[in-house]
Amino acid sequence: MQEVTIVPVQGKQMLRQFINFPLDLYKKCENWVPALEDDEYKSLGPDNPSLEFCERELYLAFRGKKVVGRVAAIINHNANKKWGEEVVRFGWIDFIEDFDVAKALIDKVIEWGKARGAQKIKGPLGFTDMDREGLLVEGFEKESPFTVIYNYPYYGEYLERMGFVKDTDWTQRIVEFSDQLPPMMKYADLVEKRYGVHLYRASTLKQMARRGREMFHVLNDAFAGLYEYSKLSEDQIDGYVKQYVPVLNKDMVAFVVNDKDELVAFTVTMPHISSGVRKAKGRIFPFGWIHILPQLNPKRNHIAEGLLIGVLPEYQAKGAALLMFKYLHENYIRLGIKQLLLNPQLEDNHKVQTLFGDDYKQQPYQRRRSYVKEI
Amino acid sequence: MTREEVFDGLKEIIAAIRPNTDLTNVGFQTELVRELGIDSLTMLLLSLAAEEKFQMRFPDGAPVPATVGEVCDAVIKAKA
Repeated sequence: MQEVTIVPVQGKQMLRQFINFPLDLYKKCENWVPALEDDEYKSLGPDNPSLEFCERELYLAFRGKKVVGRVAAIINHNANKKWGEEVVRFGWIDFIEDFDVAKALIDKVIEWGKARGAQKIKGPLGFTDMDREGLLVEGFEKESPFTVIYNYPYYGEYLERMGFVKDTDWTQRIVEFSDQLPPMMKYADLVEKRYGVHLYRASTLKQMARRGREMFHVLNDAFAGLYEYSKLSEDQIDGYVKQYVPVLNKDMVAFVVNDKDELVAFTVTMPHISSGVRKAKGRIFPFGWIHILPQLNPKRNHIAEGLLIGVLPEYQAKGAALLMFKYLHENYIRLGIKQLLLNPQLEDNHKVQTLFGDDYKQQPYQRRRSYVKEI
Repeated sequence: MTREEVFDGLKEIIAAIRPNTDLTNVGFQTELVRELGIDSLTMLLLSLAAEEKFQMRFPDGAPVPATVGEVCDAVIKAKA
């Protein structure tokens, strides 16, 4: 068997190989869903605003001329400063079922990180929390949302064989939405009256964009204390607003504002479009949209994905979530949405883990893990 | 307003917020979290609904009651 060689990605052709490698690796896997190709080019290309405060190198693993693995080595200097650690992250990791390939990739990330002072390696993580993160460790039999990592079970086995241990877990739940609001929703007006907050209904793209920008500022405050979080920069926020706000369905997004018209809480949900993204192989253009578009219509797709939720710390435990989910639940009934698949939530984030209490039927969906190892 | 009257009113509120809660053996000593399974959101709604029903307001920063009896006492104190 030919030796494994690890080569840094240089030029457009190698970047294409890096981005497309999982399409080949997972072509027979029904539960794997690619990231949107356009998003991958933006994240991994030289114009990613995260590079203001991150260093990164992309590597491909070869056996002979065949690509057999990939990995991104990342140092987020803001996160390291904030958390007081010297960490090199690994992300975008994929490899064939071959321990030597996996080890060669991780060894390269360690070597690259050590040369820059890293004392620990963690991952899979992205540049920031807005990237895919966490290795799938439970729920391999279920279809992944396109916003999260799906991987074969041997990934975790190999990392553990290399001495990695759990650093944290994120869990995903799927929540049932019946045709009736739970009785507790009757109390939404008491929340509004007591805390001077109310729902904001955006009706134009301009209004959505304004609230979208505020949303990422709320996110920065709400997520500040969460695992490995580093503040999104204004350039990043600009990019996300331009990229995502125009495609949001205003009936599936909830904003709560205070009596000064400042955003204090938000929830972003969207139709579950995984099977369309898989059929499109992550490419919207030229014809991938044909597969994705029908799934964006909630009347033809009864599952929504909960992408983000954020509440300003001073408004937490004051019922903002009740206002948001009352609004969303009313809309879901109208749109025919029956289930909400929540994005990964830190297992020790009690506030978000108890969000739906006993009022909604829910069950575990998938579990993802960030691994760590001293180097 | 007596403690018993507040107690009856609180039971009505809990039944309205969480109709599936078994209130048959609820007494003053019943623990809100452990025995009634009341989570933080229900606790918030319970306090807001109690303020509305009993026409009073819990002071900001008041300790979170652990039992039904402690909620009754907090209502009576807030109304005094």
